[in-house]
Amino acid sequence: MKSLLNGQEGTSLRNFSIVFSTVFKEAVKTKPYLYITIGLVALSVLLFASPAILTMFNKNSPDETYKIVNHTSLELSEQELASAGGSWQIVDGVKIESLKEEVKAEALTGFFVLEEQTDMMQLNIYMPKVNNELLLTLESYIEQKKVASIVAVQSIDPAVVQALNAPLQSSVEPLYETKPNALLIVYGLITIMFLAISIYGNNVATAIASEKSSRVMEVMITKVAPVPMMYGKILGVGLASLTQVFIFIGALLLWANIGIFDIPEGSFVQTIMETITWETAACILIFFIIGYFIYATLFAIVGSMVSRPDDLGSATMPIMILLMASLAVEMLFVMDAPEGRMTTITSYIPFTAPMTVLVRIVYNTITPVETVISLLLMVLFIALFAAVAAKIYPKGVLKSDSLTFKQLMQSNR
Amino acid sequence: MTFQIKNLNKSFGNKKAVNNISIQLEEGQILGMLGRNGAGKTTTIRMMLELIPKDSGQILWKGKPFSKKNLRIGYLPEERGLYAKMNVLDQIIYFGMLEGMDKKEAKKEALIWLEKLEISYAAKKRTEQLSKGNQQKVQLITALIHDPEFIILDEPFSGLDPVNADMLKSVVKELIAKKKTIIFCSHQMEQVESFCSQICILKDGNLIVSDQLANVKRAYDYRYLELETATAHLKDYLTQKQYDFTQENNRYKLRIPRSEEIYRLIQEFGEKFELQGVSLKEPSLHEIFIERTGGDIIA
Repeated sequence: MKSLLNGQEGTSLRNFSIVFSTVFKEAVKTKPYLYITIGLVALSVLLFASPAILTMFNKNSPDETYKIVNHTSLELSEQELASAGGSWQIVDGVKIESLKEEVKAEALTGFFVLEEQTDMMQLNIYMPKVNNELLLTLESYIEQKKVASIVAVQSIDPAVVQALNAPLQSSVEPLYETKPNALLIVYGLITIMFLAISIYGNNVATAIASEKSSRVMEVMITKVAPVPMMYGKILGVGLASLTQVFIFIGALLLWANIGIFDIPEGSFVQTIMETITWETAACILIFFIIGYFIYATLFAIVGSMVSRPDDLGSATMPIMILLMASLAVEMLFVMDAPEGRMTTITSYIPFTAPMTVLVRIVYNTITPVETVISLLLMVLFIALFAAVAAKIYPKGVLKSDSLTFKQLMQSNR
Repeated sequence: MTFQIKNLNKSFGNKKAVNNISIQLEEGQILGMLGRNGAGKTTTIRMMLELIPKDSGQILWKGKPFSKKNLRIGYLPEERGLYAKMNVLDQIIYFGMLEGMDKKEAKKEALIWLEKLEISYAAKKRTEQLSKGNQQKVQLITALIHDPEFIILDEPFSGLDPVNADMLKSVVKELIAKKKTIIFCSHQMEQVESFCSQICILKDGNLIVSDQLANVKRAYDYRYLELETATAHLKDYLTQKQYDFTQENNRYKLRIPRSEEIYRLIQEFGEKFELQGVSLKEPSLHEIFIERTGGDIIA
């Protein structure tokens, strides 16, 4: 009991930390939280394994067998044809109808008939399901054989042939100093931010509304001052959500570093690994936390205004509209023009800034000064929110019925 | 006086919720705070707990502002509430810690209280798994775990079965024996009467009664004379003599002004009728409450 009569600020801080740690522990102990966390780890595995899985599905099975009927003078080789995938047999004098029957009976994956016409060669394909990758390889092989045959017959210098065949190289050059797959990363990040803010923000509102409807608020309010209690909840739920995000990112880093997954060159997984540096990750994290904080405070205030969780749907609608409007602005304007005027403006509006700055970080179109100004504006906005919350939250939680914002703003009511 | 409310006022818009009330209470005394719903009890308690600001007036404890900073306060609100999904022990420890206890101390006290109220078996259960009565016990523990000096019990007996009510009575008696200062709000007048040495009655924000219970009763200008007889003529006689009375089977309850010579009356009735029982009673708190507040106690 010695520690009972501390200074008021010390008590507030102590109670804030007790609420914060209890809310966090209770949040992570729930079954839905456990399931979502396991789901996120599974998703990280799927993300890293996806290139390998896709390759596996696209790869021709060694059981696949093909036959080719060659009616041309080209000299084809079964071993060379096998490089396209599957096992090959060059046949002659076989009726097409009997080959069709073999395919129907699944004794054969497919067959091809190569014919020489007046000015060209014709390849007829008989496959129940066309394998484009195999076709490309096969066509390329036949083209090579055809060219080699002409070169031999016409005694053309191979160097001339090579010069004639030299392809036109074209490539898409990025406008910003970033990877071509950055768009995917940005989509991924703002989607995660949108989902996290809406899910965990709603969790904060639900927790507060539940306390009001179950009357536990009546007890809590005598033990903890309303504002430390509100921020204890916001941060407790926030840390629980961040823990999930950390576990997800940690799993991604683990898979990236231990190298158990084969990451193909140029895949989006490789782009993520190259684009998201530690500095970028730290910036993203800061803006993620601040974005959550801005919206979670709004959710907390709304949670204190309703009398029961059932009423939250309509009460949180304005916040959800604000959040969706921010997302729409990112999709329609910011991602299209990461250096445009709209992007610059939305970098300084607290509701849109977290997502906009995040996009600009990935696109590398924001300067450190702009980042700091945006950050300071958001911190100032949070301080303003805290002052408003301190005024209206205590009144909201003490009223057992639903209240309007105007009623909450009226003093001493 | 140890605890003092001086000229306390609170208005909500044009409505005067608490109108210039003053209450005094000695340390170790128990005050029954009565009033119909909306009389101003909860507003007064909320001002005491600094949940809402007072318009004017003072609330003092030993000359200093009545505040959690100056003393330990235990509060059992009328509107009960616990975290349904949290387990019982964690919940009690949580509330104990919020009252300034360290975790170890809170756990030790929580286990003692759970044992005392015979719900140790439920320590690891989720609160929602407990019966309403047992949840009431948990609620009481959360109010008392930090050994408060000043306790506010708002309707502590509501929803309890007779066995649990007896258990709670013994807890309240124990608190009284420990010289805790208690404010006891209840609509169950017999409970208030059995525990409280002092009462106050609020009506529409005004303090209409505030004194020692014995003085309140003595100040009343009537008493009740209860007569038990098998004679049917008594009713006719009482009606003829215009006595204020009620009848329940063979029992007649007469409201007698204090100025009446009660022994002369008993003698008069004894001579005229064969009486099986005679008793003299002071007005009950229930009767005083109804008379002073002008209606049913359950609004």
